Amino acid sequence: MQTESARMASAREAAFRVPYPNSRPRSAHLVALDRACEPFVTHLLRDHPGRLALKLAALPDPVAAATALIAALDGTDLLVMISTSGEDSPAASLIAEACHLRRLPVTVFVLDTPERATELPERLRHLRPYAQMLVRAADPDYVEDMLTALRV
Amino acid sequence: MLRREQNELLTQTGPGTVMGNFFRAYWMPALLASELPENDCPPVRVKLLGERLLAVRDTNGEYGLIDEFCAHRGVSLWFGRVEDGGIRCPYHGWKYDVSGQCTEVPSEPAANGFCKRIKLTGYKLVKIGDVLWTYMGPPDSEPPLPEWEFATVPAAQSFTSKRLQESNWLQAMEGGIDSSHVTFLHGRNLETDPLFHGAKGNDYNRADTAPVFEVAESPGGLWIGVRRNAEEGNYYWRITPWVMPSFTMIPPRADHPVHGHFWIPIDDETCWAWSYDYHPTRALTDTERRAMEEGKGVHVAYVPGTFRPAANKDNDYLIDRAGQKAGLTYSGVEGIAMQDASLQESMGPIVDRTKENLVGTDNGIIMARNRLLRAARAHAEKGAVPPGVDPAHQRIRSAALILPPDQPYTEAAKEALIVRPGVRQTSV
Repeated sequence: MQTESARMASAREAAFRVPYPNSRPRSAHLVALDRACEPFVTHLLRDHPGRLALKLAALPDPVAAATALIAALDGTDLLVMISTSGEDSPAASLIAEACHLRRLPVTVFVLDTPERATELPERLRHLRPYAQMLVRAADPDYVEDMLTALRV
Repeated sequence: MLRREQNELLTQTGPGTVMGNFFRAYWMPALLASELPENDCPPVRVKLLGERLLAVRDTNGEYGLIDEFCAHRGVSLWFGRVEDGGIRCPYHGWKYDVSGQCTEVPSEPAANGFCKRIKLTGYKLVKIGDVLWTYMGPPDSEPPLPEWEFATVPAAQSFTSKRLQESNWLQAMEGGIDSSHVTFLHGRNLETDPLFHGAKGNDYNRADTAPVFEVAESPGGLWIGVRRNAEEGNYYWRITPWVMPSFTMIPPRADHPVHGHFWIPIDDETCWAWSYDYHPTRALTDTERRAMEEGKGVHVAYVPGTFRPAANKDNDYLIDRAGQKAGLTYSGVEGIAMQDASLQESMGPIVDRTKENLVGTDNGIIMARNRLLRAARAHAEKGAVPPGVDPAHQRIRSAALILPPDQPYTEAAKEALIVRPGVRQTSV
């Protein structure tokens, strides 16, 4: 007699999986940590109402902006920090600590180019404390793929 | 999640598919060398990438992988006689050499050259280590022979096995780069398995249950780094290389042999899970080799006479609910390999990735898919040589080490992550 495991692992049985949306759309805050990645973050917002962005370097008072962001974190599913130059930011630290307290996952994306290889240790030193997941990639399109994969 | 068309692209590997052509750009493990143990031994049926093939070792010790079926009337040549430098179909005596070239059609006069016009599909089969490797792509694009360290160290230092996995290759491989499941599914085995236990690194694993992940691109694929807290503010790193299309190496523990996998599609609903163990600088001990042969570590015990695991879906993987409740294993299934395989097979033959809900710690999987999609398309559309084909991409190692907090592991562990002949693995 066939076991449950054998019968249920078949392609035929896979067709009977209940067809329903098993999650609601997620929302993410994207935080641009330096000016160089701002156009890229703007691009990521296009046609995605579930994505919100904060461009820290562009603001006259980043700490005040970070405080406002923290107040608006309720309902956010994921926070993504994006860095190209590796500039440190007290505002980023504030946001990361708030996320940590709220158990909100933080993913840090480092655009990793050979030209900036010598800066990498310094960049990582700043960014590591924030991240549950830190991704280094040369291709900025990876962030879009990641957000799509995470249903953001 | 993936879109349906992305999932289909990555999981379909038959002839003419994008991913199938991508796999065909590499040398792949096809059989254990022990399956063809001597000249003129019985041939072995092999199915790879949806092609039914036959592996042959002829009178002169030459290996070949040819179409399984006789060109005459479609008889399986598995019934053939391996003799005098080829294999002869037992039906009407047509004979083929290891390249698939027909060399004799007894019913036709030799002078008319009929047999020269008959050629079965044939692929090279080359022995490196205790594995027979095949290349199934266009002959004019044949890459250099593989140089994976486990296959090039002396035989006494290496052990390789394979097992049938009854799922698509991708969901099997994704298990190999998903470090976050280890604490749950295999946590108990770190203490009890003879090929894992006793390492200082295991203490860090147990002490820090909230590891942090760092994924970085490598020339051949990815480095997947997982860090945990160690003493004096330092980090304990475990670094897993993934090389395209489907090679991984588990970070070492103490002086145990290093292990890892290849996942090679048989067809779209089954794959071979290849598992190797090797030590870069010493012979495996009798105790280690016996443990591997008995199915410990990343290996399995088999249904006798087959490569099907003894614990399989037809016996509910011999699940032990009492053992699960008592904490002997986390899932109730015994053995690291079958703990993985049982869950991966339960997803169904090809998991529907449009329904999954990934989280941040799945970034290794997300990035691997991203790189595979891009590389496979670049190969299909521009003829780009895929990452991982270059032997330099294969001369890599996994590593486990302690680093200061400001060090990028790819730079600080650069030496540890490449093959250094005569130098042992970097391990904790």
